[in-house]
Amino acid sequence: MTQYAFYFDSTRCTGCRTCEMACKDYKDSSEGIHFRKVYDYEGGTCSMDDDGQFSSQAFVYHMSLGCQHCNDPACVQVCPTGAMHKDAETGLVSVDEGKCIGCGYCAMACPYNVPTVDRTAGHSVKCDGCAERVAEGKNPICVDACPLRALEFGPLEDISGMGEVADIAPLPPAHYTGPNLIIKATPDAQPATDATGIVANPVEVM
Amino acid sequence: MAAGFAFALSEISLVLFTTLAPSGAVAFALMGAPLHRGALDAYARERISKLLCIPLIVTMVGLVASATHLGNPDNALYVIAGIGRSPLSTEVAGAVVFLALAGVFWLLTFARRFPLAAQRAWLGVAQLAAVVFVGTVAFAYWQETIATWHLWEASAALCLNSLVGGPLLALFGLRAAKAPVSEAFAKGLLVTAGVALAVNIAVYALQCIDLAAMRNAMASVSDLAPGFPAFVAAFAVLCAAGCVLSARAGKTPAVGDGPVGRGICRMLVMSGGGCLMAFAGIFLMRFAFYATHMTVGL
Ligand code: SF4
Ligand code: SF4
Ligand code: SF4
Repeated sequence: MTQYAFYFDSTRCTGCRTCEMACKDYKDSSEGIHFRKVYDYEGGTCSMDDDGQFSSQAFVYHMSLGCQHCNDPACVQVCPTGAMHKDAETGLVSVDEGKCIGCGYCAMACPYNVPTVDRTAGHSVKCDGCAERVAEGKNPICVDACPLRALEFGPLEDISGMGEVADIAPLPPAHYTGPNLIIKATPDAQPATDATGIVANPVEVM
Repeated sequence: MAAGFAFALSEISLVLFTTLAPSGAVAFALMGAPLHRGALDAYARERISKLLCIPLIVTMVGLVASATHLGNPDNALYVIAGIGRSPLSTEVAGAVVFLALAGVFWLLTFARRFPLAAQRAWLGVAQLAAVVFVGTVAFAYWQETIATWHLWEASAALCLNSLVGGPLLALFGLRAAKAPVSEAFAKGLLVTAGVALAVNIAVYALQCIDLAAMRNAMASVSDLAPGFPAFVAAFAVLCAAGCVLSARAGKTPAVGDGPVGRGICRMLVMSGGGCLMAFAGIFLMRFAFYATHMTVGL
């Protein structure tokens, strides 16, 4: 099997949402449903010293997330029907619409807020890694759309040297599901266990 | 509205399912217990057997409610594929086995010939299936990535809920059947509900302490489900009132007590009202449970 993976350069991402919009347009997802979401992670403080000078320990950075096509995917583990499955050839995780009952357990269990039940369609939907484009030797749409070249995609062995396995906030610690997401972290990045920051755009991403 | 409350509202059919089905199953097991006694006359046996449909209907209503939350029930047969891997499949299997055994037992009691020994054996297996089913519901959401549900208190509370609602519903069923059960048995059911309630409140108190410290990058539990302790207080009051109402409903009537008279009506209204109050309390806590849904990440 060739496990495919995403690469995200958090030193480049400006949080422009072009990836998100390109995905939405290409996948024609229903209203309110996004397969790729951009999280704004903010925290820290500003302080004034005795001379009246301000110094800042504040941080803000963005995190563009599709599915991590995890090694040990929680969504697949809990899915009662086997609709949520990991492809044996590519390691991409996707939903078999012909099996899904729309119970939403995958959405409850994924710690990356990825699957959603499309109530009109009656089944779960999520990023499938643009599997049909990958089969044609192309990149996912979100990757090609990024104007900052902050996203890459390819076999894990080609990508893994470019950064570290995703283990920074606001993501969960990597040991839970083994994400196939390699990140080049911005100097502002906080560890996954950080409790000082908060996702500043919860309404947008939930 | 708090995000957790909105989530719980969207899963309201699961709130109803987890309120009714476990208590219904425990009520079935307890209400069937007198049928194992030798002293019971054939007429009383028949009435209890027939009215086992009460806990069965309560369980069925819960199950039907849970099916309404599915996006595409046509694919439901695929659920078999996940047995052993997905705790949700295991729960569905638990429900199907229990309802099949209990439902067929109930139907067979209408048959002219259903030997006593066979009745008892079948009932025993159905009662065991009821207990297993409650266990599968308690662990249906046992998933490491859902931090707030991966707590022993959450699973223990569901079992205890069924030990509060189940005995009260069983007592209602036995009273409706005018079953000549001993006062000691009736008292035993009430004491079980009372003790389970006390332990349940203690478990919820511990859960409150655990939940208070929990947060992820999106929210804290107190943002998601503000007033969790107030939910516990309302649960305690409603369930305690339910137990008292059931206890004060009076002595379970026996056969020669004649046709359904005013005394029996009053008893059933009080006993049924007690069940409804307990179910209302359990419903609130199940709502609060869904409201606390929070993963280890986003
Ligand atoms: S990110 Fe979520 S949906 Fe994607 S494979 Fe991992 S657990 Fe499943
Ligand atoms: S919604 Fe579909 S894919 Fe998700 S857990 Fe349920 S059956 Fe599986
Ligand atoms: S890989 Fe495809 S489906 Fe997934 S986020 Fe990118 S564009 Fe969307």
